Formats: sequence, structure tokens, C-alpha cells
Amino acid sequence: MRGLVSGATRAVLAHEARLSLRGVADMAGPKTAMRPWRIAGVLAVVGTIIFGVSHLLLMTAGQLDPADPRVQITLTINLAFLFILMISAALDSAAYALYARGDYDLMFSAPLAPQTVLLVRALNVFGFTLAKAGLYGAPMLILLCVQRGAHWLAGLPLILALALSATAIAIGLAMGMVRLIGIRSTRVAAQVAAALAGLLVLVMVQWEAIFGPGPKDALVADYIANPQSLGWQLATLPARAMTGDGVALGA
Amino acid sequence: MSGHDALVVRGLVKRFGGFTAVNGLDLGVRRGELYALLGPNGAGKTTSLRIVAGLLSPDAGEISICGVNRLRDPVAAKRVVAWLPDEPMVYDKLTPVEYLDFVAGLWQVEPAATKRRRDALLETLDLTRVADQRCEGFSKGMRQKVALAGALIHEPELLILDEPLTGLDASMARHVKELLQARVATGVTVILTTHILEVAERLSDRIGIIRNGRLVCEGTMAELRDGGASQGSTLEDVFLDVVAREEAA
Repeated sequence: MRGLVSGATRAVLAHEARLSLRGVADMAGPKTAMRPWRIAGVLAVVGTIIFGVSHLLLMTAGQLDPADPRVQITLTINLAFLFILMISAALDSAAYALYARGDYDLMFSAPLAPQTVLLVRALNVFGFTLAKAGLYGAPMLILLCVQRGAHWLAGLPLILALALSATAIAIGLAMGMVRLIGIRSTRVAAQVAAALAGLLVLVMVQWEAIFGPGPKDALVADYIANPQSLGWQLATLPARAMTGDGVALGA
Repeated sequence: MSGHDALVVRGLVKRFGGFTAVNGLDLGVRRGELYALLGPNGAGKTTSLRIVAGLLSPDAGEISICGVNRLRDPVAAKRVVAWLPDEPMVYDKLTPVEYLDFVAGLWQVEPAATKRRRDALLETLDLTRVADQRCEGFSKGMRQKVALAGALIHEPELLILDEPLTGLDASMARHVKELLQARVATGVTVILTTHILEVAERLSDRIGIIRNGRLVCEGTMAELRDGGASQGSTLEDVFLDVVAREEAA
């Protein structure tokens, strides 16, 4: 690391990481002597809840045979929701990091290439998106690996790739939206989108209870009828990657 | 271009769409000089200085900072410059100590020197008692002081300050003025903009008046008075006279 980046770039990277961690730690409440314990407690509670929910979902999931079209469609729907959640989280993060922090006078007057500053900012957005996706997705992946086989580990690089794509889309969206509606409105829109995406997760979990088996059955039937169509090949790429298809994972 | 001057600007032009903010500005500031750049609102002072600090790209012109071509080698030029905007941003989540360490890291100041300079600046600017408190609860004046300390921590050769006394109380404003004069005495060049003309009159070695993006008048206070204003006139008189003449022209 030391050989790869200059001292000033390291300073910016460390700075971004520190600001992000402080932001997360501040969610645990005001700064007191008890704070480290409170942060650990909040993380433990959140982790336990996510593990518990993931375990319950997995108990009701049945066999999860990777070759089963129904499994592929279920995974595709879930990953699509997760991707939307990632984009909405990354959008607010990108709007804040790129436009709302207000420290460009300091950064751009420092002896650094502007590209370095922007690259580190983009990495910060990516790290935040990945951490959030990991928080929600990693417990499920760990349980899948332990209970259903190590091939589910393919989900880890998949989450990495989805987070990277979500970051790129979110930065592009943030830049476009800031041009069109300004910084403040972009951040409000991003926060509304994040709330809606949170609702989508509930929809994802309760898909069958809300829509019944019909829509999914129709999708499964269409997939079985045209598995090689370009649309399905692209749509199911993440699901196939997650279930250990090496070619899909490479793509 | 002279390599001996702290700043040489030739034919600087900056346009924003159809509006020309800086219109062929020529400016020379010697080393170890405190130079006040004055002008009415919208004259192009801040835009010009932001270009010098490397925050904006000019449409035309040349800039040399301590002999370094700012457009050809912007990173080298930035190493010797500090820029302090009128509303500086300090990070709410950092303490003054952390902020200064971060800024020193950007300019790659050695850790031992960082600590020495940081402690001295915190002491000088009366920030020691809040050195380990986060900046989130600080008043505007305290933030201004933290940012000023940040601008000084890498010991720049050219310090550019946009309205540096805004938000400071009388005692701290005097303190900052003394600090700037002490820096100038050690050979640092200071360029500042201010609307407080008494400050410019009392502090600066030379004064430049800019209007419509061009330098219309420049010199020491005595030279400005010789330029047509009556003896005993203040900088305010000179300034208003110059602006009125330019408007009439």
C-alpha cells in the first residue's frame, strides 16, 4: 500500500475512512465514556437480528437446488431488490461525498491531483455501499455456506461486483440529478429512494404473501420455456453466479 | 515572468458563460509583502484568487507562483500556497488537532514538524483548551481560527486569504492581524481581500484595486494618495474616488 500511493493520497484515504467510521459511530448516540460499549452493543443487536431473519428465511426456503429454475428466479428477484437497495444507499452517499461536504476548497488547493481526490471519494462511496450490502447479505451467505455448501461463497465476489456497479450507477445518477435539481433536492430524493428501497426489502421478503404464487410462477414458466433468450441470460446472470456458475461469476 | 516575485499574473481571463469575471488581470506581488486586493462586490477579486490557488482554471493568462508556472505544474505551485476562503470549512467530526494533522498530511509535512507547528499554532490562536474537542460545537470565529491554523501548518510561502477577519471578535481580529504581520516579517507573502478598508490601510504594504476583472489602481498608500486624492485622505476616500472615476469612464 505504501509503495502504491503517495503520502498525501494515504492521508486522504485515512481521512475518508475516519470520517465514515465516525459517522457510523455517531449513530450509536452521543460521545461518552460508554460509547465503545454502546457501539459494540448496537452492532451485536443488529447482527443478531439479521442473522435471525436470514435463518428463518433459509428454514422456509427448501432445498435450493442451483439447477432448479424456481431457485434461479427467486434469487434473481432477491438480488434485483438488493441491487436497488445498494443504488439508493450509494446515491445519498455519492451526493454527500461529491457535492455536500464542502471541503473541495481545501482538497483542491492541496498539492494533489484532482483525480486522486475524486477517486478516493468514489472509493469511499463504494466502501460504504459494500459495507451496507455486506451487513445485510453476509449473514445469509454465511448461513448458506454452513448449511448448504461452500459453493455459496460465490456470493461474496458477486456482492462485491454488485456494489461496484451500484456505486458507478449512483455516482452517474448523482451527477445528473445535481445538474438538474441541485444538491439539496438530490439528497432529499436519495433519502426518499432509500426509504422506498427499504420498503422493497419488505416486499421481497413477503413477495408470495403479497402477490401470491402467480407472478413468480409465470416468470418461472417463461424462464423454463426460453432459458437461452438474451433477456433471461442477462437477468439470471447474478443468480447463476451466486449458485457457483463459474462463467457467470467471471462475467 | 520573474522567478523572484511571490506572484506574477499576466493577462488573466475567466469567463462564466457570457459573463467575464476576470478581464485581462495583471498583478505582481513581491516576496515578503502584505498585499490587499480590494474592489466592489463582483469585481473579480475572489475569482482571481481562486484561480491563483488552483481552484479554477483560467480561460487565458499566465500565473507564476514563487517562480513555478501554476498552469504547467499545478501540484508544485500548490505546495507553496495556502488558500483560506471567506467561509472556510472545517470537519465537524474532527478535533482541531486531527484537522491540523490531516492538513499537514496533505502537504506531506513530517510528523515531528507537524506536532511542533500544530502545538504552536493552537497556542497562538488560543485553541489549546479546545484542541481535543470536536469542531461541531464551535462558533464561526473558532472555526475561522482552526481553518487559519490549517492554512499555516505547512508554512506556505504565499498565503491567500479571502476576508480573513469575518466572524472574528475584536480581540481575535487583532490577534490574527498580528499573526499575519509576524509571518510577513519572516518573509511570507500574504494576499488578502477585505471590505474593512481600515484593516487594509493599516496592514498592507501595497494595495490593488480591481474593478470589472481588471486592476485599475495599485501602490502603497502614499502612492495611491499621490494618484489624485488629497493628502490626509483615507483608503476609503481613495477607494471610492477610484471606483467613481472608473464608473464615469
